[in-house]
Amino acid sequence: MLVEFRNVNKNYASGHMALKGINLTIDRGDFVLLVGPSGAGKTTIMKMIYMDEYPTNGEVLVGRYSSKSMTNKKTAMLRRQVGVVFQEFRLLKDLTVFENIALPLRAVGKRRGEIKKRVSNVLYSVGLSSKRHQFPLKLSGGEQQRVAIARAMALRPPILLADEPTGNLDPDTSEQIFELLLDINRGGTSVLVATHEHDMAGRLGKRILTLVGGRLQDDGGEESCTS
Amino acid sequence: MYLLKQAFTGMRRAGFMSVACILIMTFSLLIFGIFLLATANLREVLRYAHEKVEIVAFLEDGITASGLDSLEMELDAIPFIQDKTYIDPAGALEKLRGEFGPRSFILDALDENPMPASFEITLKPQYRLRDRVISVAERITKLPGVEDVSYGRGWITRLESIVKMLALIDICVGLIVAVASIVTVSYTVRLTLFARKEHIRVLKLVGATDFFVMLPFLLEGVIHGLISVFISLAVVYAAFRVVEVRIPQAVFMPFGMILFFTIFGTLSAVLGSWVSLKTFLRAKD
Repeated sequence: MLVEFRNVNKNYASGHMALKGINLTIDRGDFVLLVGPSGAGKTTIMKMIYMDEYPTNGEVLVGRYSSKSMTNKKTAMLRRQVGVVFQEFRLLKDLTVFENIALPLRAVGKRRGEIKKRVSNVLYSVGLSSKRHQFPLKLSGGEQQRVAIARAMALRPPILLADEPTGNLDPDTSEQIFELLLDINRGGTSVLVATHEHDMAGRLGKRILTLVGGRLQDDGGEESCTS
Repeated sequence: MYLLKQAFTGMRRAGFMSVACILIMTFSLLIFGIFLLATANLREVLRYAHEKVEIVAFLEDGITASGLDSLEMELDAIPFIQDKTYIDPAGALEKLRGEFGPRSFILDALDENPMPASFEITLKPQYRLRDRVISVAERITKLPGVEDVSYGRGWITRLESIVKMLALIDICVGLIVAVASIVTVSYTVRLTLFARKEHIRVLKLVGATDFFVMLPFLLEGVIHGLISVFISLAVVYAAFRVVEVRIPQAVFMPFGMILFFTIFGTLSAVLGSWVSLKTFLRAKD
């Protein structure tokens, strides 16, 4: 089991109940789509996996890490195992494509030669080898998202989280990004994609979790697969 | 290399604030540097004064030759004494005549020599401290054949208390300068932190530890500190050279003091960065 939510509730200080009784599991190699309208709690689930939010009740387990016993150091270690991609890409504008992708490798103390090799490989896999010296704002939205995916995959994490990765992209580019995520999944990485594009999710033929008002509607694991 | 690049990027971004921070720190350190320089010089005066510390033991009138011999043996037995010179009454009068200079004719009016015989005693350098001088003088007073003992008790005590007072002022000024530096650097680094909020956020998301995130900012503090120390030392040195023309005996800060000043300035700046970083990293988003 790579990710497990055990009866998780999340209440915010404002009184808003973001998640109610969530139970879910994600195994190694899974491709899971988390669908639901805006404000349904998709981002909260994502944040709980990379421990940016903690449950009010219940427990989240990611690999050997538990939400009940996290420290700053453990959070940093966990995040090296979880790649994250956002709708707004979150690339650093003053760094080149190469430097953006190199960030996680620098953070874990990789040597210069190793960084160069790994960044080149991951850039090749997202089809952006020729853009390595460009700055993010010179790239199209689709290209920026590819760079963000490359950065998330630089440390070869066992799981990749993508929070509305196609929210800012046109349909053709969105399709290409989903193709890339499927490719990554075929390489053995578990992928969890939060999206409000229900139609696109249905076409992929993968496991779908529907979140409405903080409750999971179809968390039945493989049996809830929409083929 | 990456960390150094990030530190300089931070300083470039802070721009005017970074320059203002260096100027304020330099000014604070300058005041501290001047106090340290004054302390170094007063210590030098004290050291010189200690070199001149001398105990004069005046002998009883009519001391016999054997009494003088046994007193000399007693003095030789005191381990703190480096040297002693016997001055007979005639020699003492000659010395006084020399001190009177052109007015020495006054002494011609004397019917008889009023000067007593004496021993001028020098202590070993390590024992020329106030308490030690007093204890040796008291010991000599009790020796048979000694009428009275004289030493510069008053001025040694005054000079030592001035140096002690200056050391206390150094500590107070040092503390004020440290607080001023910490506050200045922490505000400057806070501005950099806000400007680089997204950078830090992304670093944390990709698994950077707090230490890795903090390093470029701490380095920025080191650079601020070192530049300020360097400028303030240069200004203090220039001031010293000006003073040296009028007072050639003046000395500059010794190496140990310069090292302390450098570490002090740099550490204050690093502490300023650290305070800001801890506050920033604790606050979520």
